[in-house]
Amino acid sequence: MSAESLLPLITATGIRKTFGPTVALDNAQAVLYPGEIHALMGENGSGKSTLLTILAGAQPADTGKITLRGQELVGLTPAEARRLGIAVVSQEPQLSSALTVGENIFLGRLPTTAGRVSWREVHRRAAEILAELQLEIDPRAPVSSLSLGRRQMVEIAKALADRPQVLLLDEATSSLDEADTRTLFALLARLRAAGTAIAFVSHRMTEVMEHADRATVLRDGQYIGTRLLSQTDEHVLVSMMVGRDLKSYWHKAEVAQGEALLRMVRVSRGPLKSIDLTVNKGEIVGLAGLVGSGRSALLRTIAGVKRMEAGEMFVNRASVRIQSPRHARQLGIGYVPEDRKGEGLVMHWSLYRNAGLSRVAALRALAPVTERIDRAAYAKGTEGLKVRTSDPRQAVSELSGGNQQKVLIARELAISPELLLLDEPTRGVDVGAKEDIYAQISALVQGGMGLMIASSELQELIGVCDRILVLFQGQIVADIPAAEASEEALAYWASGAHLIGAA
Amino acid sequence: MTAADISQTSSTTSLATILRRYAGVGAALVALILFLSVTQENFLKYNNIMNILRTNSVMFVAAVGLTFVIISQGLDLSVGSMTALGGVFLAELLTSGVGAWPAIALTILACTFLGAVVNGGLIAYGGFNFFVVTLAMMQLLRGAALVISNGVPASTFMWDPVQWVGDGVVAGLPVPVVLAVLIGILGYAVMRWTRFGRSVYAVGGNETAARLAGINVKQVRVAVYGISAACAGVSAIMLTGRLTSSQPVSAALGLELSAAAAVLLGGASFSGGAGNIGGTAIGVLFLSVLANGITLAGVPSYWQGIATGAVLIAAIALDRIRAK
Ligand SMILES: Nc1ncnc2c1ncn2[C@@H]1O[C@H](COP(=O)(O)OP(=O)(O)OP(=O)(O)O)[C@@H](O)[C@H]1O
Ligand SMILES: [Mg+2]
Repeated sequence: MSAESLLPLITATGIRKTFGPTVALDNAQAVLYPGEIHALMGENGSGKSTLLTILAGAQPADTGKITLRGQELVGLTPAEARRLGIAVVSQEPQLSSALTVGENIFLGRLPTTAGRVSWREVHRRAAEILAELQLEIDPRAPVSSLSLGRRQMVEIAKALADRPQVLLLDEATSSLDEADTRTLFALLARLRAAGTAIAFVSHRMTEVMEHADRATVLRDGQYIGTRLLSQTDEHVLVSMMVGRDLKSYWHKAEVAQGEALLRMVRVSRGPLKSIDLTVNKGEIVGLAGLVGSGRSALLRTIAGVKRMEAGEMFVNRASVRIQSPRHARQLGIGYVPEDRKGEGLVMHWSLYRNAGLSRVAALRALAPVTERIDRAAYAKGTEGLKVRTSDPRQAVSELSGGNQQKVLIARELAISPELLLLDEPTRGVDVGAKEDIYAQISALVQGGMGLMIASSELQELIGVCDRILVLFQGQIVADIPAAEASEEALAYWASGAHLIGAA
Repeated sequence: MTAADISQTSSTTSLATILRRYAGVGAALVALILFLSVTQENFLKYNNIMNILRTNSVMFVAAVGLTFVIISQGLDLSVGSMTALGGVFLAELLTSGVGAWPAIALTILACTFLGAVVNGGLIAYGGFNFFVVTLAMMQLLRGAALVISNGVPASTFMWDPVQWVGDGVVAGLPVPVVLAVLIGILGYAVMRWTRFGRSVYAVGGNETAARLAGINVKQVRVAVYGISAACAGVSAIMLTGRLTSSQPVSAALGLELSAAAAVLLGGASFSGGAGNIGGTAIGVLFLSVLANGITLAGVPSYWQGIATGAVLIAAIALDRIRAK
């Protein structure tokens, strides 16, 4: 790439932004050239999202300068940014679930003919953009009917609808499966060739190394540096981000496994077909599979969100039919759902209250509740997790995405469950924090807790689990000890390739 | 940070949040009271103040129940009709020879049952929209009050306990005011310091998150509609006692709307998860003092609706600005 020979397309320099006592950005900078894919990196709460929202005009910087093609932009608003060709996919979902896909894509700028919205035009153009992303989604479908991953793709489609010159993606891939991620990066490569300046935030190092041309690192809101990735290795980036060297990403202690904690025998429900599995005390079981393969559905069945239709389930050897999440929790099962904003946190509550919710929910109806319970839950749950907050009484909505995730995990750790179910627990969590979370979890596992983790990050599963179950179309198709697992093997089973061989 | 630091920052912050939460309506209430004290010589008279409190204790009790519902992200439009039906039911029981105290208890129980089972049941277990259910119940209960009573008021003058609840005096204070304050304190404590209260906030704040965290959302919904109806039942006794008769046609007409206005003025919002009974008390006081001021100033009482509406919009606009 010959970025240096061109003029930058968009620049932000000397950016400072504070929220009350929190300094989110302090002398931050980002310089994007046309025709490059630029990774924006940093730990949770380092200011990446804040910087992107400032570039997109969603909030003003306290001080600093933004230029587009050499022209300074003052008092940028989202509408103006869009008009200038700056599009953003933000970290938090923005779609309104009551509207259709097409309506969402063109929200606020529906094409009109003679003053009337032309729905045919909306759906035709939406279909065009969706096709470009290789999405088989009906533009007339309501967003509420889509999975989290599909919604994310619609968010991206929405950003692309304007044919932007500058495309800013904030953790756009964190809820995508591998196939969608590949499609997205192929599309980004095409946009790059057409001269678009693209910035993306991601905590997945492999993704960054593979697809980005350059990377800018922020730490504690400050600009640390920009590197050409063809001349940098990932350890350099990690140490720029965390200010120290991370030796290994995961800890996996050898734990003597106890007796069976959970056993499922030919359990079926909805997409799940005849599931047989066992989780022992002190064991970490991974669930791999594509989006829609039944990983989340399986966890939801155990967590009591959906009732099983057939088969048998045993918790601590006792046969159970779990009726509700409350029932599951009474059996000692904790659950961290995939969608932290929609199903996990009460966004306007403080960190304390959120951390205390599962503990409080387990009490009798008229049991007394004071802030002391919340604080104790917070202290216990966040132990070792390093939540970055100016004050745990602040609303959890004010935290960066990765820190919100830590609060949600803390909520479940606070009840010391016997069996903990984690659905994509490290989505949006930075490398250092992943290490913290898994260190904390492995301490609990040594105390006899059983763990099930569903994740799309195969490397992570191999690193932390004892055993990995691969799901394909609602069935467990492979049960592989992590020591023998490889990403290729897991991908092979997850994709259903074994069926082709058998046929 | 030392423990002393923590407790200090916590007390200053909670003071700051309290100020922020009530600054708008609370300051307006103080200003209104000052203004009326200066301009209306009768305003600060003991009788006038007691009159304000006594006549509005019915609205306050209804608003306490409604606060639970609104915080859980619902609405109960049947409160006014429930109050009217409660009055008719009470009068029926009394005239058919049931003792006064048992009749009072039965009335409150019957209201609670109707609210929990019909409103709460249909909404929580039937999956019906709260607006539709309680709108239907608003019509239905008022209709039932008319059918049972034939639309004719029944005097309850002869039953002392009912008169006492509605118009009596205890320790120099009107009984309905004392009752209202006790119910307000009870509601505040339940909301603030019990697991149930916390679940109401959780259900209103994020229903799915609450359910997945182990809260029985359906039970919470049934309970809040039951509480709202129980409060309406108490209002019914208080109102019947004060009017010395049941008034099937005119009793508590529009009570649900003025109570809802007071709850919203007090900082709760239809998006749920926020508000508290303290705010509701301020909201009720504000509307009551405003109405009283309008009467004292000799302005036709038709203006009351306009004033209430304008105040509500102003308060919510203020809230929006503050949230930014
Ligand atoms: N609206 C807000 N109010 C208060 N503090 C905020 C607000 N938005 C962001 N912050 C704070 O600013 C800092 C930077 O947040 P930001 O969301 O930019 O981090 P990030 O780098 O995107 O992190 P992540 O990787 O977790 O998404 C954090 O400490 C966060 O708590
Ligand atoms: Mg972020």
